[in-house]
Amino acid sequence: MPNLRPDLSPEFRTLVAEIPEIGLKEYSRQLYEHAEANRPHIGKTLRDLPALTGAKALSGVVISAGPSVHRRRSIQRLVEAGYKGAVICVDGSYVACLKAGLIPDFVFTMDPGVKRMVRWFGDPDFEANSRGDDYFDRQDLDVEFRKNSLAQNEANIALVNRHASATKAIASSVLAANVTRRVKEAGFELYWWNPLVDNPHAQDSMTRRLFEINPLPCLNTGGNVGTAAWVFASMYLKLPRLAMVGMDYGYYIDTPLSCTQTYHELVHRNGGEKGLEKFFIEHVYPGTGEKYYTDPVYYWYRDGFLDMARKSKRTTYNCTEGGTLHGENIECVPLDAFLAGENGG
Amino acid sequence: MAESVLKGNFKTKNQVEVDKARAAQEKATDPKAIAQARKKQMLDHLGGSMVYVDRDTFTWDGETDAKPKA
Repeated sequence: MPNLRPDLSPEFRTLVAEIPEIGLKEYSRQLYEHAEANRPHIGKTLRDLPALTGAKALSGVVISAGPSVHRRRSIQRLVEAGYKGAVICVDGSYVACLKAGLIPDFVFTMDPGVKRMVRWFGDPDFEANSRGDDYFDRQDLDVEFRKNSLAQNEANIALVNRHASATKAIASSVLAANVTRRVKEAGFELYWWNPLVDNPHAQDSMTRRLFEINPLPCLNTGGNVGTAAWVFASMYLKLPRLAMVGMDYGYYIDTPLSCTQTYHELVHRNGGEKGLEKFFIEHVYPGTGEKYYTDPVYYWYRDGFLDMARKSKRTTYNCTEGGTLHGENIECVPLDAFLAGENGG
Repeated sequence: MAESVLKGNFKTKNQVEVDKARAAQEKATDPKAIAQARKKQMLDHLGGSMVYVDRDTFTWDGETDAKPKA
């Protein structure tokens, strides 16, 4: 059960409580279909990952795709510092890494979405997949994608094709066919895994059924690619020092509600824009005292992450420099302080 | 004349297919069907795609794992 703050509105609480059931019910068939479709493509798995060596075995940074990545110039600062540890990025921050001159060791991708996810690697069907969808126009993850034109998309395709072979793609078995096709044609070395979406020992477990389709190692995703990448870095790569950037789980206070991830859905649920504020809640980041705000979905993700971090029995350095993520086993430090520690500072 | 202008006078790089689900929704006249389609769209976005329910297990690798790892 999620831990709910006492100052949440009843509507916020109700929605948070409904989220897990919504996701599982709505997506189960799609997950199975995608897992079946990907079966012929599966070669290497997480079990085949070569061990990291040198500086990359000692420390790593997970680059998620929250708005802080751009406001705090997190990727550029890693480049400027000459960071030598392992770099694990999520699909939504991969192109931003390449543009900054950072070639990630791993790119993590998992969402079964059919139309949107492929854009992170450059979408060969850009026009068809973007018609009638303002998701990227309202994107807070990477503002570059707001002005993503046909020409920009073509440039992204070329950029990804040029660098893909230098990065291992950590690919979930439930990717949509167009994403699988795209990452294969781009030239990534693929390592497959299954999403762990429920208790595999429970009766009628979805995870077990996915495992029966493709007997791949299963990772808990925490519901979002940032958390899943952290689970991968913590539990598979077992990096002794692990930092995260871009893990906001919320919005800067100057972000309009209309630019939040689930704005349209919340307006629909609310029956209009009037009173929509009840689906959002402010949050003070303890490192700086700055205010942020979050919505029910990010609140749910954040709560799940905090639970998992608590049980991980290891410290993770949150170098997001803002947002809503802090708690047991999560040490919020500026990125520069983490990087100084890398050099014995 | 107007129709030909509306259709466009250029060719797209890739074959553009009509989004069948969206087209069906737009054509639907039954209020229940429309409401159901909209609810489905809303839930798709609100629920996320990978919402997990088990917070105790980090990894699992089949029966070689006697017990899920936390």
